[in-house]
Amino acid sequence: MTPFLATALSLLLATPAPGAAAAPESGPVPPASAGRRVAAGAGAVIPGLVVHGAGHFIRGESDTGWRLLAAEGVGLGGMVGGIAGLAVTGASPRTVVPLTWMIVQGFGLFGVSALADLYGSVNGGEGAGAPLVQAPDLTVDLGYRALYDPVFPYTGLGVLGATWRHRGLALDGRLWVAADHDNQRLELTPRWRLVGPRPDRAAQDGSFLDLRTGVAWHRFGPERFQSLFGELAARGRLDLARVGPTLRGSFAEAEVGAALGGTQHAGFDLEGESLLLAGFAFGLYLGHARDGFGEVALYYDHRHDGYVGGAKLRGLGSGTPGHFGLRTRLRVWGPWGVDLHGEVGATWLGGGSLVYQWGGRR
Amino acid sequence: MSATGRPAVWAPAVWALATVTALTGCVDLADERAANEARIGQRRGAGLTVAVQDGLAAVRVLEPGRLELWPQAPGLTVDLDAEAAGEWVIEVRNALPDALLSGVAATPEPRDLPTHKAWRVTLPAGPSRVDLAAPRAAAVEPFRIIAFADTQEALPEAGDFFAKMAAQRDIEFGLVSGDLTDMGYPDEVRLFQRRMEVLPFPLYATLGNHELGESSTAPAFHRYFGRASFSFPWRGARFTLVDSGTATLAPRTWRSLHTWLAQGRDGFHLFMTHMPPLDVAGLRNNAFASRAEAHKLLGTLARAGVDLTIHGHVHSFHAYAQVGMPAFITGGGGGIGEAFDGIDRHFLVIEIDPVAQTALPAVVRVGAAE
Ligand SMILES: [Fe+2]
Repeated sequence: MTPFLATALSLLLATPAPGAAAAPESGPVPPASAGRRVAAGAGAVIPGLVVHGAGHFIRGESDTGWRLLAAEGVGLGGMVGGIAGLAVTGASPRTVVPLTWMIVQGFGLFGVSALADLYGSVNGGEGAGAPLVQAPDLTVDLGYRALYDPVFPYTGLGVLGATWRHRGLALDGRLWVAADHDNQRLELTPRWRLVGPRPDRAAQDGSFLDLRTGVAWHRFGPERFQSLFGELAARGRLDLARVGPTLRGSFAEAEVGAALGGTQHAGFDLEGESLLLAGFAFGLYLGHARDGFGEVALYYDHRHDGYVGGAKLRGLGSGTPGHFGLRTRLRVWGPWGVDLHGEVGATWLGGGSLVYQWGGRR
Repeated sequence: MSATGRPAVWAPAVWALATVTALTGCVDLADERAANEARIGQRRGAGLTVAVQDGLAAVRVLEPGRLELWPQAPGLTVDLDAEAAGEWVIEVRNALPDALLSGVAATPEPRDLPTHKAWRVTLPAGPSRVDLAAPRAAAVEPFRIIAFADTQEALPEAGDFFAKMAAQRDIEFGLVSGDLTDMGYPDEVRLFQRRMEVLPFPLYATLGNHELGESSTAPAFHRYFGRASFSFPWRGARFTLVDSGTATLAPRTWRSLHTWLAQGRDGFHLFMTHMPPLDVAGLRNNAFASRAEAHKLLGTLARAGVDLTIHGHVHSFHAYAQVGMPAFITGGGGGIGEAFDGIDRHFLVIEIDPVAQTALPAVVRVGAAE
């Protein structure tokens, strides 16, 4: 994790504020009248989109408001500093990695603080969903994603995923197979949980820090090439109840890493390639039944490989940014649930999966 | 999910929707621009219908008795259809200095710039065809061109850059791999045209992302310089320049590319985009938005026997290979330079041998680092 990210997360989010010193998650949520909630929600939009935390100030939760405002400030600082750094260095490869991480995580802090303000000022943590404090032993999902890609002819993908956990280790596998094209992608990502919920040990909340390695292989049959990347990344989640009681039920994630590998075109030599990994998410836990599971997250992923790639934007910003997505996982009955998942980058992708989850509890 | 939990979901859902809505259509943005571009080179007015074959010139002026073209190639074929017989002046800017007009009786008229040519012609009523060509177009011999990109915000101070290009000997034409301007505004495009007035040779340019600051679908570049995706033959070689301003190739452009690759299969073929499909520094990704598309393009070019690719966007110089094809990145027009790379403003002079199918580049530095 970059020093910037670590500092931002630990100083601004994880450290309890003076007013919320007692375990914030269990702290009582001050009730707010419907009128106040509407006013706070409106305030979280105007002027809240500019002054993050405004909704919380209106709601009377100024400790949380100040923290969100500080997170916005650090986020803006990261973005401005990163962009200024790119301008000064002309995006030199020698300095581009930390600067890009700064911009992505700065944008993440900026976005998360705005969304958290909106969520907390309207909902105030009432009836909030709860995280899994003990991780499931096994999760399997099987589904379909429709694709709209202007450049490749495939229109649908079957996807099979599984995660098996043992103590701190999680073995993740995911296979994508195009339904109407000779195209396959396999991702194997072993992860080690440094902090957070495990199958054998309950955690205080849903916050975690994972170190992950990974291999991603992607074959384009008719286009006659295949790529193989090895990757190393750190991904963390922070339950925002630690920031303020009104944010109970929401979480933020951040990831930094890099991938190295190569692509081979049939009849040509393998050529080396690299890929920057970075991302962030803002999400909500859905439901709180002890044996249930569910969450929804809006996220940014800096990856340019795979089916979705980076965003094609209006104006002059295309090429470097990655893609956005929305993922939802919800228990329906017993160990069974559904995933709903959409992404937009160079391509549109959307669909769902059936999920089986064994173990884990809230 | 509890009833009170529900209102919490709408806020991020609205944001997600807003994000997605903001990005809607962007997946097809490049194709919208390519569709607009397809109309370039066709115009009707003042009793004359003009159709430039393959859209290789912008029709800049069509008024009674006067037609002005801006070619993106050394040779042009223009189909005309006049409502009535009459006298016209055909002006061609950005022309080869020794270009000749044939097909109709034409009397040259003097103009101030070597690349500004004009002819007084008498057009018959009904269809006629004129050709613009240089005498040596078919002579398959080594020749020299210039390549550069990324003048961007340095354009107002780029006098020395253009003067140095003008001082190079025996240059047939220059190729510009995009980012001529900072934001793509018409006054910037006009300034680029004024800078070109010192050059004794024409420039053929594709657009870069910085030409899309004002409009992503109908940039001023189209109105002044014409298409950003085009291909032309010259002295046994083929040159294909393709619009990559949105970090992708539009599906329409992909279809045209297959035709151009087939046409250039047997001879020397130079391919140019503004954005490199892959950045030489992959972690930076100043390149195509999708690695998958980048590789699809590079594989397609390599299998079609493309001999050299040139890109801009990265403000440095790199000579490398991608899928076995020699490649240059040249982004030394004056936009913020990459630090620590040991090279500042520069352009390339490339000697092309269409018989041996080779290209030999020389880096020409401009300014303090000369
Ligand atoms: Fe550029």
